[in-house]
Amino acid sequence: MTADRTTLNTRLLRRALTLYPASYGTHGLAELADHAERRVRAARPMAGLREVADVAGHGARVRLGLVSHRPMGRALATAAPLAAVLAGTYAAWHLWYTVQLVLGPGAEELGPSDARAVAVTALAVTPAALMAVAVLAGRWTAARALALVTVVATPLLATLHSTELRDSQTVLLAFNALVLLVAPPDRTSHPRSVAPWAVAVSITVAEVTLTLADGYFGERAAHTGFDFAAPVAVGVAIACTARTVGRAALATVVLAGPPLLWPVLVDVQADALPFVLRPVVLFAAGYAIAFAAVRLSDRSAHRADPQHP
Amino acid sequence: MVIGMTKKRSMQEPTFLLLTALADQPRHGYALGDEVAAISDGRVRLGAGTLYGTLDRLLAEGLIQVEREETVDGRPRRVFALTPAGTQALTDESERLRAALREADRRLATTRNRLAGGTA
Repeated sequence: MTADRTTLNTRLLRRALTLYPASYGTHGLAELADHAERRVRAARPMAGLREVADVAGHGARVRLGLVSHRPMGRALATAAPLAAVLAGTYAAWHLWYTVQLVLGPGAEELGPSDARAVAVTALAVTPAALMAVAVLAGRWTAARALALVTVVATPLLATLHSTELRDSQTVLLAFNALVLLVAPPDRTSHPRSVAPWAVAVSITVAEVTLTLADGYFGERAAHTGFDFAAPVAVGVAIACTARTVGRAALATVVLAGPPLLWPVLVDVQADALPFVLRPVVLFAAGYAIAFAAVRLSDRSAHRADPQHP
Repeated sequence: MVIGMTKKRSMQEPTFLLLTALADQPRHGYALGDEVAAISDGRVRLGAGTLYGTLDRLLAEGLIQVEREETVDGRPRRVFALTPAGTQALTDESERLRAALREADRRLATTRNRLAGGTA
């Protein structure tokens, strides 16, 4: 059984190696293939499978130009933890909403099909919520595994079963998980973890405040909170995260902003232009204010530094 | 126009370990993977994709270079070496870590002295 699995991993590895473009270089690819094959043969089946996934991820990133020394790769690496936390907070909120449906005063009125839809919704959003927890805990391997589950299982469940999720919400979860999945791993796990935490906390506070203010767990209150809080929080977080990129900061914002804003824009589901523009304006305001604060703080620190009179 | 501050970020651990593995002598990819595991006491094990992805980035940033390409026992190898910029980056990071360690030791010594005084 183990030998079969090892052979399977070796076959999968050969498939994964075909993802590399010819431009990667024959010598470099042959070296990588030899290295990976030796590791796969020496590893236990699950570890070998992880090795194959690692090679496949790198090959796909090389082919798509998303490697860590390219601007798009750097931007994705900046965006990925924020995108994952954004999706996870959103998923956690929906999970809480489904719990309220089951335990709330109207639970007796739920029919079998409604109950099934609520259960499938909870199942569909749980991997994304756990993905955010893994990101905040710095468990990147677990976070990527859960991102893969979110990308595959969440749309599948939403397609096969009736759920409480709208199509745009399913897209939001899958898309943001995909951002984490394709981001270069050697830059994603940066220790500046305060930004993802800030995104999670600010969105949660906005949701809870709005819900308490309205006094009921209405869909309108939940979505208004997310739509207002997420763009501002993400704008601030990108300004704080990209602060030390130097000249590449602007490129990072330009590339990292749209993947984070797009799901929010889709989720607005409004045909009126002000509603569509709202997340962009909120994001820009959050980014501009935070970036100005960062520069001001840097200048103050620079003046106070005796080595830079 | 310079956007953002110019202070350098601290190095990520896999990058630091890879540059450390190259500090004493040039090495090929497979040996680098083993060295990183040995230096980190088995805590950091880089997959082949992540290892070569990081090496590609360090090459692009000019911190390492390919010293030579060779084939040993039918196995193709690129031998990587630190560049002067890579040596400087590793020196800066080592100094930063050393300063943090000195400060940690100083503060721990204060705490130990206080605890020893309290129990005496």
